[in-house]
Amino acid sequence: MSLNKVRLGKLVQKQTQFKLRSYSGIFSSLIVLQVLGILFSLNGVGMTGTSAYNMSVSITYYSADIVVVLTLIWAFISAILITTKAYREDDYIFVTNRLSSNLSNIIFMAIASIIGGVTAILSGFLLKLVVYTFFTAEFMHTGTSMLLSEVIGGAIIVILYVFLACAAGYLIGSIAQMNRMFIILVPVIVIGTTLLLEMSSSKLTTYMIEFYIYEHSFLMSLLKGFFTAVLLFTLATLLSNRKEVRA
Amino acid sequence: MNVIECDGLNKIRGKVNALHNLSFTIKEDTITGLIGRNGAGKTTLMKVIAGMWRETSGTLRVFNKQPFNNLFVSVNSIYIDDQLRFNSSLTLSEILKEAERFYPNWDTTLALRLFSYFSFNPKDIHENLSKGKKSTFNAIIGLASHCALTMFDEPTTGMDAAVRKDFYRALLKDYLNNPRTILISSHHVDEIEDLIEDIFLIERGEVLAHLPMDEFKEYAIGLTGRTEIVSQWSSNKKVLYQKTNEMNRTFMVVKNEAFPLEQAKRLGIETSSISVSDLAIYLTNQRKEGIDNVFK
Repeated sequence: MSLNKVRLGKLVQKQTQFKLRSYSGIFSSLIVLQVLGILFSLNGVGMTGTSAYNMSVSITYYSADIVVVLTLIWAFISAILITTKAYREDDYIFVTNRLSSNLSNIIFMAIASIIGGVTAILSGFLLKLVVYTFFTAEFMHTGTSMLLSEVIGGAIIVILYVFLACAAGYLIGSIAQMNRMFIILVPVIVIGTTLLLEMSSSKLTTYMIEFYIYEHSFLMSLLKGFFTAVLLFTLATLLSNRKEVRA
Repeated sequence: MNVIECDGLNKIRGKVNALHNLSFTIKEDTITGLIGRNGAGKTTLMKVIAGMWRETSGTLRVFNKQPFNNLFVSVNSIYIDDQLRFNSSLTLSEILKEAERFYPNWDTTLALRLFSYFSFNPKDIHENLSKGKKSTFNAIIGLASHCALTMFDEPTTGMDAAVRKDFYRALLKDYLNNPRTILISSHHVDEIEDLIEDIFLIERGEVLAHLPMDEFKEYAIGLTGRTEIVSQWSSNKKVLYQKTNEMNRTFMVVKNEAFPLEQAKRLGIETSSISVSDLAIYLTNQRKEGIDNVFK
C-alpha cells in the first residue's frame, strides 16, 4: 500500500471544516442564548418618568448589552466543552496530531467568535426594530452612533472579547483535562485568588480592568486582546501536547 | 521493509507495567494476529503503535518514525476498536464522507458496497446503533481506509456469527487485492487462525511467541499414556500442560523438539496434535488450578 504524506496546513484546514460541520450544537446554543437575551432586553434596562402640567412622560431605555454578555458566557463554556474527551476524541478517529487538533480548534473558535460577535452586535438593531414595530412608544434617540465605521469598530472589539472568552475557557478546559483534580482545583484557585486580591485591597484587579477595559485607543485594545488570546492558546497547546488520548 | 520496529519497549500505565521490555519487528504486507488473554497488553500495544499513547521507555518506530504526535504515522495508519465514538450530529453516510476526506487511500466503492451489504441506513446516528452494528460500521471504516498499517482491536465484538464470517472474508479478500500490514487482535484464535500469517502471542506485557502460523501449529505435541512412562519420557522437555486422570493416565503437552516418535509409540504413548486455540490457552495460562478450584 502506498504511503502518503500530509502537510500540517492542509490537515488543519480539513479538520476545521470537519468541526464546522459537526459541532453544530455549539451554534444552535448560540442562537437560543441570543434569542433569550433579546427577549430579556425587551423589558428595558432602565426607566425614568416625570410629570408636569398634566402631562406625564415615561422613558424606557433599551439595550442589547445582555446579549453580548450572554455571548461571552457562551464562548467561555463552548471553549471548555471543546476540550472535553468527547470532542477531543472526534479528531483521533481520523488523521491528526495534538498540534493540528489544537490549531483547528483555535481556528474554529475564531470563526465561532466572528459569528457570535457579529450576531450580538446585530441583535442591538433587531431589538430596535422589534421595539419600533411592536411597541407604541415614541422613539427619542436610537443610540449613540449609527456611523458605519463605529459599528464595525464596535463589532471588531466585541468579536475580540468573545475570542478572549474562548481563549480563557480553552486554557481552563485544557488544564482541567490534564488531571481530574484540576476540575475542582481550577475554579477554587481562580475564585480564591480573586477574593484574596479583593480583600487585600491589592491594585492588581483594578490594574487588569484598566489595562483591558479602559483602553481608549482602538488599535491598542485590539493588540492587547489579540496577544492575550495568543498567549492563552499557546499555553493550552503546550499543556495538551503530551496528553494521551482514548485512555 | 519493516513497518514496526520495537526494541525494549516499556509502557507503564498508572502503577501497571502494561508492556514489559517488548522487542519485535512486523514486516510489510503481513497479517499478524495479536493473541492474548484479557489484560495481556494487546490494546496498550496497539494504542502506543497508533501514537495515541506515549511509550514510557525503549524505542518504537512505525514507518521508521516515532508514532506519538506524528502526522505521517497518523495518515498511514488506522486503529479500530469498539470504543470509537463519533460526533452524534453526523449521520453514518456523513461519517463515511468525512473519512474519505481524511484518508488519501480511501476506497469509496468498497465502503458503499459494504455499507449496503450490511444494510445500514445512511441517515442513522452511530450512537443509536446496536453493539454489533457499531462494530460492523467501524470495521467498514477500517477496511475502506486502506491504510498501510491497519489495526483492528477485537473488531468482532458484538457481531453475530454470520457477520463475523463475512467480516473475516471481506478482510481477506480486500487484503489480497490491496496488500498492506494488518494487525488484528482477538481472544478467539480459532476464528482468525486461517486468516493470519503470523501469530503474536502476548501475556502480561511480554511476547510469548512471534512465529509464522505454520510453525506455531507444530509448536507443541500432545502425549497420552501411563503416567510413569509419560513423565519419564518427557523429562528434560518443556511441559506446557499436564493432566492426570483417575486411571493413572496422563495427558501432557510438550514443546515439539524433534521427538523420536516411533520410540514413543512402542512405549504405548499416543501422540496427538494440539489445536491452535488450545495451544494458545496452554501457553498463556497463568493459573495453576482451573476454575473448579474456586468452588471447592
